[in-house]
Amino acid sequence: MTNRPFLILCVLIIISWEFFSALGFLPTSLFPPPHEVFNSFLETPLEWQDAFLQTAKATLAGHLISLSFGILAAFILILSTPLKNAFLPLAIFFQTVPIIAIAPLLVIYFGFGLPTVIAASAIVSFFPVLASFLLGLENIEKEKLELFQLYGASKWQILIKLRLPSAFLSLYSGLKVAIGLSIIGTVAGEFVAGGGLGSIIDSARTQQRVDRVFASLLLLALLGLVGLYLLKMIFLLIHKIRPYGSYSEEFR
Amino acid sequence: MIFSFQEVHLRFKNKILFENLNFQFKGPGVIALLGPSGCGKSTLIRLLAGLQPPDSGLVQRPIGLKQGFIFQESHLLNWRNTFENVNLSLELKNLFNPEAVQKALKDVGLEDSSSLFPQELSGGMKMRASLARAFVLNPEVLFCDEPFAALDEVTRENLQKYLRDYILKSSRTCFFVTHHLSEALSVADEIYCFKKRGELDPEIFQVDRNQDSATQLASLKTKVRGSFL
Repeated sequence: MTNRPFLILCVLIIISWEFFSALGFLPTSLFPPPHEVFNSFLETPLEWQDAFLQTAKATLAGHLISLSFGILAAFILILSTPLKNAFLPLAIFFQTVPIIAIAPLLVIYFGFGLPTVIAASAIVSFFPVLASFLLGLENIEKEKLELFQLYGASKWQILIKLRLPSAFLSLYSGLKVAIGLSIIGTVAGEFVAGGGLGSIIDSARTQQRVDRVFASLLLLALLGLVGLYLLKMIFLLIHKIRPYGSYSEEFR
Repeated sequence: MIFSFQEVHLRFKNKILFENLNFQFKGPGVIALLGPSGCGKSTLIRLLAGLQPPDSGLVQRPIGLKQGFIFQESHLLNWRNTFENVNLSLELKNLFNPEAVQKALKDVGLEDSSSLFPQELSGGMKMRASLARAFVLNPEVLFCDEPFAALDEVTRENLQKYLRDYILKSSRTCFFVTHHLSEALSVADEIYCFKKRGELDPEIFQVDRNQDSATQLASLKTKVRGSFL
C-alpha cells in the first residue's frame, strides 16, 4: 500500500524547501518554510481541528447530495431520450458557471453557514457524477445489448442487469473527479458563507499569514487524499462481492 | 421450418449490401453460410434472427420461435459467475429452472465451473458457457456467427461435434456462419456458398456423410474457387 517513491519525494521537497529558505533563496513571506507551516498548526490546534472537521462534513454532505441526485438524474435521462435532450444542456450550464460567482446567490437563498457551503459543494460536483454515470449507462457493447434483446429483455431489465453493472467503472471515475470538485465547492462556499478551512484561508489572506494559507492547503489536500482512499476502499469492497470492475487494472 | 428472403434490400453506409435477395432455407438440420470475409454472412444471419430489419422486402420466419444466438465472442457478463451467466436467458424470460441450468452446464462439461467468473475461464470454457446459455432455453433454432473462430483446433472440433449432435438429436435448425471450408463440412448438412458481397444465388452444397471428407473438401473447394483471397 505504501507509495515509497512518493514518500521519498515528499521528504526531499521538505528538506530542500527548508534548506533553500534558510539560505535565503526562497522569500519566506511568499513561501514559508515547512517548520513555520507546522508551527501554525501548533498555535491553535483546536481551531484547525474544528475547521478541518467542518470542511470535511460539508464536503461529505455535498458529495453525497451530488452522488444521489447525479445517479437519479442519470437513471431518468437514460430511460427517456427527450428528457435527456432537454435537461443535459442545463446540467452543462451549471458546470460552466463558476461556483465563486454562484456562491453569493446561494448566501441569499440559504443564508450564511453550513447550508450554503453544502449547496456549493453539491452543485460543483453534480455534473461529473451525472456525466460519468450516464456515459457508463449508455456505453455498453452492442452484442451484449443484442443478446438481451434477443431474449426479450424489457428496457428495465436491460437497465438493471446490463447497463447498471456496466457503469461501475465509469461511475468510479466520475466520483474520483467529484471528490476534488466537492472540496473546491466547499471552500468557495466557505469564502462567502464562513466557517471551515475556507474562512481560515480568507482571514489569513487579509492578515498576510501565508503560513496559515499553506497549512490550510495541506489539510485540504489531506482531505482529498482521504476521500479518494475511502472511495477506492468502498469500490474495492463492492468489486470483491461482485467483480464489476474486472475490466480495470486497478481492480484486478 | 422455412426461413425465406423475399425481395430483400439492405444498404450499409450508403453501399448496397443486398439487392433483390430471394431464396429460402429449409430446416431441420445444420445450414452453413460459407463465404469470404465481407460477403455479408453475418448480416444475413442477423436478418434471419430478427436482430436487424431489412431496408425493404420481407424476411419470413416461423412465428413464435424459440431461438438462441451464439456470437464469435462469448459475451459473458463478467460480474456473473458461470451458473448465473447460463441462467441469464431464463431470468430475462422470468423463468426459474436451476435444474435446467445445471443440466446445460453438465452437457457442456462445466458442472465443476459453475461458481467461476468469466475471467477465470479459458476461451474454450467461455464458449461452452455461451453454448449452454443458448441451449438452456431449449431453442428450436440456433444462430451461430463464427462461434468457434477464436478457439484452438482440438476444442473447435470437439465443440463442432457437440453442436451437431445437439441439433440433430431433437430435429432443431441451426444456421452456422463460417469461412472455414472444413468446419462447414464438419458441422453442416447443407452449405450455402457465397462468393461475393450481395450474392443473389449462392451455390448450395449438400454434405454427404457417406463420402470421405477429403473428396468432399476437394469438391467444395472447386465450388468456392476464386472467392477467397
